[in-house]
Amino acid sequence: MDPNNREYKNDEITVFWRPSKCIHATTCYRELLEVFNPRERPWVNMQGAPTEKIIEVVDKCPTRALEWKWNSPENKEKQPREKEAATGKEKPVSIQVMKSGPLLVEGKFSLINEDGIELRSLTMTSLCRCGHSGNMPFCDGSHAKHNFDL
Amino acid sequence: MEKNEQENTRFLILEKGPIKVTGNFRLYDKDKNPIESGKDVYLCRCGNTSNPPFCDGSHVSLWGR
Repeated sequence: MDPNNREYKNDEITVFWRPSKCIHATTCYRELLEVFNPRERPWVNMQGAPTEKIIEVVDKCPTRALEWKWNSPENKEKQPREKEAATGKEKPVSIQVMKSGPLLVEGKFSLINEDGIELRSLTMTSLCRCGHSGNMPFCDGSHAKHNFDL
Repeated sequence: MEKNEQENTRFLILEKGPIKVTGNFRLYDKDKNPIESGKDVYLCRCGNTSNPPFCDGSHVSLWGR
């Protein structure tokens, strides 16, 4: 068990944080800075927004570095199911080139790593553009330490 | 350029090389302005390209073949 794993609670749910899974997709704090603020310690403030909103944003974490569970067993039926796959025409995947930063990818896509392993059904990720990430091909924030400026 | 809207979008990480993107995607700059590109693109991941975000072969001098 990673000693860096954390739990954050409010009255209704517990949010679990596993930093080893984080690829810095930045979804959480861009969507809900009142709860997820990497500049604060602790970085998760469970009083910052209503529970439904926290659930909505945690569900968007592309790697499940953030996950949530109901505190009370009676509420287990309320646990939402996996989102059904969208039918019909898919929206184009958006690839945003962040200045001095990674490629921010959003949509429905798969990624095939250098060792040929395919990750399917990804929805959001950050891909390293600077060449210095310790977690290639994903961004791990190293671009900031190397004054990457493309 | 036409992009096949039904095709699955795939990111292929080329060994010692760029990211090859195929399928249905759009490129944007930091302000969400569209960047023109071809049907498939090769995006630099070595940090040395003279034509960001596209690969220009600079990775060869950095990573070898």
